[in-house]
Amino acid sequence: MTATTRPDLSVTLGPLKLKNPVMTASGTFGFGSEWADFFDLSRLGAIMVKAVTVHPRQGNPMPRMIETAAGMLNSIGLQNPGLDAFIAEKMPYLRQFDCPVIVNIAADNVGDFNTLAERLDTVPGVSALEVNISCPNQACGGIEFGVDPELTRQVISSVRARTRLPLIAKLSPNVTDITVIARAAADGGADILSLVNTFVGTAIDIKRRKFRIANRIGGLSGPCIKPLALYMVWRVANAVSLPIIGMGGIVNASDALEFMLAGASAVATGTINFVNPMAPVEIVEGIEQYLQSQGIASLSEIVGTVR
Amino acid sequence: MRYQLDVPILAHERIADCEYEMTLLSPEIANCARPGQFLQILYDMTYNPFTRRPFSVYRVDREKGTFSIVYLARGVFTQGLRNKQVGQNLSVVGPLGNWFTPPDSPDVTLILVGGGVGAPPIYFFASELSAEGRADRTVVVINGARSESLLVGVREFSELDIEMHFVTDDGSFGARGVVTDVLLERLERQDGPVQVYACGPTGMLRAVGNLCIERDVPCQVSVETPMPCGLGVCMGCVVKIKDAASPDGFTYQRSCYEGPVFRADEILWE
Repeated sequence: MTATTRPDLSVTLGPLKLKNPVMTASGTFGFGSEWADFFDLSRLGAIMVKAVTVHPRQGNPMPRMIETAAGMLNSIGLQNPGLDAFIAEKMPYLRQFDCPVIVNIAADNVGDFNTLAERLDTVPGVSALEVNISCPNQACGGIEFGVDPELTRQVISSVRARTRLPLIAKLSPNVTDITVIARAAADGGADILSLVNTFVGTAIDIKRRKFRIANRIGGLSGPCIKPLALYMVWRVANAVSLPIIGMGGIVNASDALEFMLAGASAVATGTINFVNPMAPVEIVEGIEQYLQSQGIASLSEIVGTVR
Repeated sequence: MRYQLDVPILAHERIADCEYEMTLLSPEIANCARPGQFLQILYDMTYNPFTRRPFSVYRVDREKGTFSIVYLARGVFTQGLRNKQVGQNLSVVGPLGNWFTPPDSPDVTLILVGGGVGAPPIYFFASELSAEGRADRTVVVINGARSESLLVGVREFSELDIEMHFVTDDGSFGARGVVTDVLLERLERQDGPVQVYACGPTGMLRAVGNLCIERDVPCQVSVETPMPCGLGVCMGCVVKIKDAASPDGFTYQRSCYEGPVFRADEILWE
């Protein structure tokens, strides 16, 4: 038996270097400690923690989440302990692992985004910030920053000015042309783009004649959105030169590889984490096996090769 | 320890109207499961239905390394579950959540209240208490359902060394009425300290909880909510827990992680 060289799974996303391309999408992996019994977090390419806001948030009333065909709708409302508690209580646990921690920051005004970036800039163990521009901007009547190119550019450049950390702009798919927003995020100074966030949707209970989630609308995720997300990753990869973290309905290595062939340098698992806690590490193994079976030495060779 | 395992089905039987018991082989889970904990079961690898569903642990045989669950076949998931055959494997994550905790003192009388398909964790708890063999501790179980055909575990409960009460809405088995009728009557003739535990539909839990709060009787309830992940990360199963330090007077806690068992006086019922 001849020893085969293991393929190189490492990825370089601008200033961010990862040992493998698989991370856990924000909001689907808590703050990591919930996974202690399943696998060593050091096996992940990176952890994207649940969105953090300046102040603690209670989140929305129940029901918050329902199953739909091949996916789910959620409207959690950013329930989180707030920035101080995140730094004091969640970061010490996360720092134990040989795994970059990407903090998803959320706010409904630019001032809060600035505060989050300034404070997190100096917190040991934080490897990058993912700017969640999909929450409604109260100053502009509650529309999402991420659906408007000018607001996108403004918030990204404002955060850019306040941190040296690698900056990821998380794009909303709820737009007419995602490449316009992607370019705006690039102009604002984002290092990396992550896409897609959830698709806005709803569901109605016909017996009670009411919306099935308390907030009436929610974000659709899961395998049902994969073709839509893959299309958007391919579009953005062809329009913008920034590295992409692809996500949206990935359940296995084959899904992850589709995103990489379409142009994503790395991927994130989201809703599948709820169903198969081992999915992230199974996907790392599956990608390695694919590269071996195809005789490919390095993962970077395949990124964006399907044009 | 929480496991994700593919485990074989050892037995699968209809036990009442639309109610089924499925026995699975897993020494890991049988050994560490505690009364009130639950498992998340995957329908199959086609992910259709997509998310796992929660099922409480019912009967545990640690020597044989088996445990069982009970389900009511009423939705797409559970109606499909009926077709799973003995010998097939199911993907199971668990045991999850917290559990019912008995007081240290044997002098406290324990009253366990189960309603409908909320009876399984009550049975598990009663069987553990009964197996302790402490003759000095009184264990009372009140198990209710709409009618006899929906009552879980009549034979199993009757085999335990406990004070057993059955109650049905239509009087088809045991007393006629609801579990709170029997609980009230039992509390009124109780001398000495007592603690109540309950699992069942939300309306029943609320009624049992309020009845206990009015009488200063400590009460733990296992809440019923959707459990999209069961792992503590999706935040889709939260319940309002009183919190004087919060401006809203409550904080949301995860029924899959901090729960499903909460003190009745902590819950702010919606």
